Amino acid sequence: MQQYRQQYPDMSLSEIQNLARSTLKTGDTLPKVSIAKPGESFYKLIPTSEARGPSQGTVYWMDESQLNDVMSGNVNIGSAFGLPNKTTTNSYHVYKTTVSDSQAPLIFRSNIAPVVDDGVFKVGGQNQTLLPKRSAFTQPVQILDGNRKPLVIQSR
Amino acid sequence: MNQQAIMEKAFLLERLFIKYKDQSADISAAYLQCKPLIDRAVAGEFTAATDERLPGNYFTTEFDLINYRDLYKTASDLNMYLEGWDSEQAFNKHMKKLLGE
Repeated sequence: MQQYRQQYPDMSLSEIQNLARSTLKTGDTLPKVSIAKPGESFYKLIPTSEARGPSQGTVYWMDESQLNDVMSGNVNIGSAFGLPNKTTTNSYHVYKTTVSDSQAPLIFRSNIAPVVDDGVFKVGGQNQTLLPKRSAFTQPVQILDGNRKPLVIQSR
Repeated sequence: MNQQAIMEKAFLLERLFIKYKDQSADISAAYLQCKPLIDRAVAGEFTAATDERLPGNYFTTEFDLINYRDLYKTASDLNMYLEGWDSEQAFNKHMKKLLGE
């Protein structure tokens, strides 16, 4: 909640609590907290059909080991990550954000809880890394492949 | 427990959902999800603190609701009163202590 408080100083405390509670509910366990170091990077998948990058406030990211896992093409991304139907697709672009110099934000890791979105069941089970204090991170940049084209990851 | 505040916040929340639901598919979907609890709250069903809250799926950073601040604040206040607080001031005092402010 303190991280959200710092990220959204104009929010009321009831909003902060609601946001924190809603975020926690996306995990099936209480998240483990740790401190991210400057230069440490986290990744976000965005459907290839969307021109936009990650939204300004999104807290849901993955670490490098998870990115490697999904790059195998053997993960049903929408289901395993409990993505909303609107962002569930067959292929994704990848964006990276990095802890800014002189920053040491708290980050939280948990397993993604099963969820139903408009009647569609998502099994969850993958890990998620929550970055509530986004102001401590760089603006997301798109990851390119060896041909300097946007890297594309396929869902199983 | 502030039953009157629960009824008022729920009534206002429904009006805000109706105001914005055509502007955002997220809000429309959230309204459907939240409506059963809103109806019960407006009807005065909650007379004591409860563990029930508005379904939280659409209140994360991934959806539009967070950008409609009057709606988000009203929903958050409704949850606060369902938790059993008599006033926002009392809740804020508790939270500030919790956050070490």
